[in-house]
Amino acid sequence: MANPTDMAILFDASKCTGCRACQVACKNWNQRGYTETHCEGTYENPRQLTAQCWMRILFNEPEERPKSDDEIYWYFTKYQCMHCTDATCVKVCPSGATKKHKVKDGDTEAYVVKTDPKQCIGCNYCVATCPFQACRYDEKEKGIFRCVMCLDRISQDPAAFPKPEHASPDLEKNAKDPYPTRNRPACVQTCTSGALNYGTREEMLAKAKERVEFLKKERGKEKAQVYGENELGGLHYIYVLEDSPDKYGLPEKPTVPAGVTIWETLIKPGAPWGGLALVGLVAAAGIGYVINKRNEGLERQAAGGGE
Amino acid sequence: MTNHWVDLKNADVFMICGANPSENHPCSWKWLEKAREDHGAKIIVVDPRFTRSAARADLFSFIRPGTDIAFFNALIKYAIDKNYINWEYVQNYTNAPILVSPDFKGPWELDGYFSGYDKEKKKYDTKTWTYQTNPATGEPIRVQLIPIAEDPTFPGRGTPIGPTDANGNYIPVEWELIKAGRYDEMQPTVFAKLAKHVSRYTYEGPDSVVAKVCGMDPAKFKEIAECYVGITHKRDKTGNLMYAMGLTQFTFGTEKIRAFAILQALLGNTGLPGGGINALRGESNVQGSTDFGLLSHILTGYMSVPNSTDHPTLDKYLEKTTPKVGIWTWQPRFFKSYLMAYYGPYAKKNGLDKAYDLHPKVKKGKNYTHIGLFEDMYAGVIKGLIAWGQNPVVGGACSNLEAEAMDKLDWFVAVDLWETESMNFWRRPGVEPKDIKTEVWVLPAASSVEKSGSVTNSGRLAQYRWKAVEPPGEAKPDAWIIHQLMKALKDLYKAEGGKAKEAITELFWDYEEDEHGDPDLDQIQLEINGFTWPEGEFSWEAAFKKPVFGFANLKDDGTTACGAWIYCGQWASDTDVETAAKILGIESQLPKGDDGKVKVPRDKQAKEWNGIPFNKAQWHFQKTPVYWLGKDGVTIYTENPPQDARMIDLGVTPNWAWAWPVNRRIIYNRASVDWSGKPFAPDKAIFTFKDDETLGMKNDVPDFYTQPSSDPAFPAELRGKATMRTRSGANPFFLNREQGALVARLFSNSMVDGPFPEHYEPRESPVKNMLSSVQNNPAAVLEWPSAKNEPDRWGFAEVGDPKYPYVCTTYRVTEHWQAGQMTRNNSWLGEAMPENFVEISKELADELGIKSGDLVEVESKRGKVQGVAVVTVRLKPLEIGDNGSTRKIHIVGLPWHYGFIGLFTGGPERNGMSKKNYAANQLTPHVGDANTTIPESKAFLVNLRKVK
Repeated sequence: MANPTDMAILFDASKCTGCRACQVACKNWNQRGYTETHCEGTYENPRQLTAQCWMRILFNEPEERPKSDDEIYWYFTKYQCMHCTDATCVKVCPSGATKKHKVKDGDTEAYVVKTDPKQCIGCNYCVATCPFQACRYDEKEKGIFRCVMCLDRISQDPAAFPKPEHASPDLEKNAKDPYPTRNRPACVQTCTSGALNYGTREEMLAKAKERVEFLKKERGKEKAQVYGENELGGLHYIYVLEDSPDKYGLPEKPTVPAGVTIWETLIKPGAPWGGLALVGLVAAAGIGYVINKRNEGLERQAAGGGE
Repeated sequence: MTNHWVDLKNADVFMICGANPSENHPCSWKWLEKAREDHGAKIIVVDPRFTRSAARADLFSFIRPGTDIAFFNALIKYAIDKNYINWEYVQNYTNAPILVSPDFKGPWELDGYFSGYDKEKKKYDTKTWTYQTNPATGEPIRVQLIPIAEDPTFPGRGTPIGPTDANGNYIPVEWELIKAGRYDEMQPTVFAKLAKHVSRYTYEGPDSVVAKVCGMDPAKFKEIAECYVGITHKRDKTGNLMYAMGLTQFTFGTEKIRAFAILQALLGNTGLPGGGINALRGESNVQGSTDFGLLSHILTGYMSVPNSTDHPTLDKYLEKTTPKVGIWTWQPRFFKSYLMAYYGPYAKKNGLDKAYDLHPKVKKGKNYTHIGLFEDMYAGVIKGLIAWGQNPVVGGACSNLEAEAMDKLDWFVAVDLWETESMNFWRRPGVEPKDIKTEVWVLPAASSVEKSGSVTNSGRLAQYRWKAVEPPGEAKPDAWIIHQLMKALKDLYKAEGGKAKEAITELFWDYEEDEHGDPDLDQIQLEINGFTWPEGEFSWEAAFKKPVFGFANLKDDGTTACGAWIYCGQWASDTDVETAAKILGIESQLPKGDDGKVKVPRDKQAKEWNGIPFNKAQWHFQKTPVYWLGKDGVTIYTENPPQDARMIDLGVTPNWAWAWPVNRRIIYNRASVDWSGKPFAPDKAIFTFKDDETLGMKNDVPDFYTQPSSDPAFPAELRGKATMRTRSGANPFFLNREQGALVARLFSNSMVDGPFPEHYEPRESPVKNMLSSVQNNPAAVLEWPSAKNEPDRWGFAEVGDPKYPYVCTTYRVTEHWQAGQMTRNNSWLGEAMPENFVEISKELADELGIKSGDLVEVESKRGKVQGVAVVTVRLKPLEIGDNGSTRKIHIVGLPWHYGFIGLFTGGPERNGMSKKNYAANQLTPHVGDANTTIPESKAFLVNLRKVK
């Protein structure tokens, strides 16, 4: 299970206004480029995560006219890599490029999942098997990209904060703190409505549970629930939802595919039982699963399908 | 805003109508959430679309665009019917108890008209929209609507003594008549007339006005009314209206705001924290621009623009525009100081009368608003145009017409950050560049982060921003551009002469420049604030030594200059510096004068003392006043609270930037305290009156007469008869300047289209007006020359025109900003909202065989626009009454951000010119509000077809 002192992000869907400031702030801080999009009959865009778009807001509404206007909803979901404790991408990575990173020294557990492009061999196994379909391969940059929880910001990496080019001398002279709080992920920092929070997983979970109680009691949201507490050993994005996860475009029960477990423990290069012939049959099933999923994933990515 | 952004957290109920704050004012939403979390506030959204704000609301209802007056009047009727009224507030602080002239007649008697309408001139004479006055004193006659212990000095005012009903509301004297709907038999007060007026706006059952005109479900209306009116009429609860262009952009837009202001007065919601009427401004500095006279009918500080017929001389101007009571009796001080700021040296030599002669005057009755100017360009009267941060080819109403008007110009100058559609009007889709002879110049401007200066936000808060980065290329700050332009104009007029030459050459424009040619912003700020005009030759050094602190110190003899009286006091006085020094803990370092009082050195260079800027827009000293409320919920402690007391922080930040007037954060705040001096809402208290003569707690700057009766400024005739408390309580809205009563107005003669708000249909409507035979606002200009001369091109669809069967409305989205240059050239924002789209209901889509993602074309009488269909249940066809039966009305919505140039144009192409123009305003009509001429962009008729 996830460590209570891991750092995590809390997304409170009951406060999100779908303004997408986080989506833009993510691109800004991580200097991501433009993905060509077209209006496809919804506010939602881009329609899937890409190597240039590490997080996006899903706009969920009823397909059919509900009986009463009170049943109309427009649920906004912040969607990105969930930094799972049982991270499929870490399990399948054959080169060791995808690892759990420590946020700061002294953490008992790590918690940011990140792929080092220098070590990435472009096998796309993580793209294929991610339960949230959050890993994306970029042909040009030759690497896997997804949310990195702004590791450079949260670990206060000095290299991440160079002095801006063309900075006006006026600013430093006059403003006491020209660069306010920069120790939180860019999305959290920019959130306009207070829907995003950042802190230890323990704190975030406590906050989430308190909020769910409030929504149930004070606002009559009987279906309000926490998402991410136990899923995949605990996600590092904790969600407060006003309704069931499927209404938010989130998988009800995300799991590590069985094939991946076989692959990790038995076949993956360097696995403890890797070279043993006696597991041949089971291994074939594992390899088959991963390779098939990889191909499916690549096709889907090429076709522009969503999660 | 009567209140301010942070104050939203104090509200108990929010009515969001004609606004979409979660999308268009996203940062406001955190305060709404806070109110919800802290004290269970409710959020109501009423809108033609289920918006991103609606997604977060507690209550939502659809409404047909343009029927908000019917909705608001029905809410007023609901309040009266249920006796959900804060009577103590209404009796003392509004004009409800004043008797109305017997000659006044309303729409219930005159089939949709008020008395005084001239059918030929299409204008009202407002002389019957008046009060009955006491012939001896000239004062309006007030009667008792509820039994009160009347203050002998202030007739009709005092502490209520009558019985209350089950809700704790006082029972009005004429309750039996009100209950029976026999309003005609009541005393002819403003209240009785209002009750009669709104009695036609029914809300019960399927045949009610609410159902048939607004298309609302009467059960939902009741739920909303019970939430807003039912909660906020209580003395200690407040609700506010958050509105934007969705209410104002109508031929009767101003009256809509009036309707809600009336409701707020009845509920006792204005002047209290969390209450008021809150205009959510569309740009960071729109408030600032109206404060500084950018509108055509007002000068800086909301003084009237002089016209050549009524105001040929300074004396005539002051005589006609200065009222007899209230703050505005000081107008001669404000206006003469303003003239000194404009023509100081000339006035010193030749007198203020001559200086007034130089001041530009408008022609009486001529319309100089956006619509009026473009009509004149189209008619070939106006030959040149400077569009400064404006893009009429996208943002102007009926933009095809406005683009054609620009074709007729000799010259056009555009000042902007990016290339705009307006700069490229000569090569817009469908025209031949060689046919257009207009000469076009483009001046690149610096953006808000590339220059220093202050902006004034919706909460009237002037905040300074320091330049963060240098502007790119040849881009220049606006101040540089206007400064250099004015200098060049002065030189040209001096050299070549011209009409009214002296108005330019004698203009006082003496700002010093730095090496880049930028004018000194501190000198401009000092001039805005005001200073005592130096003896002898003018010098900035002398001016900086004598700033004026507060508009009460302005003089009407030409010895002070002040660019905008409402900003007088933004420059820190010695007392202000002392306040900041105390917060910073450097009080002991304050220099003292011979008299032992603090005296801060001031000279030409002095912009600050010891890190305390003299320009309070630069203040960042955050010390929020707090107080404690005892366990009984009534006792207020300002210090030494008992352990069980609750600390209350209302979010007033007096030392963070500076708000006009005089750093007052909530205006009309006398009304937060009842007649006897107790706060209506102890947990939202701004003041307490200690005894009759002094204030106990003071959380904000008082908006009332604060002189104790011993003060020389206290009127002699009231001495011994009134106190500071009763005098201020009798005049709680002392910025109002109407008919000798400084109170909230349920009835007004300042409007051109009626003392009460009456429902009319938008200029283009699918149905006849159900309330009277008057279809449109009779005082609005319903046909400008363009429409009259070329009805086929710029005219209007008939009522219920089968060629244009759907109601269309326009709006903004979070991802784009206004006419789009700043956001459509940003790929991150563009990819999120890449193309123009048309929102339609599932039902309409099914009727027309349209699917989400199809390309559709929307057509009005004036133009065509394409967009991608967004088919959704968030829009809904509404059942509307029409000629005795009901009819299904479809509503179509589209954003107005797109155009034909930029990285994102609105169409499928990227980066460059598009062969099509995607501006929604190509569809909108060229008509505007009767009072302000703001265009009617939020309801007009269209047709819709699938392209592919």
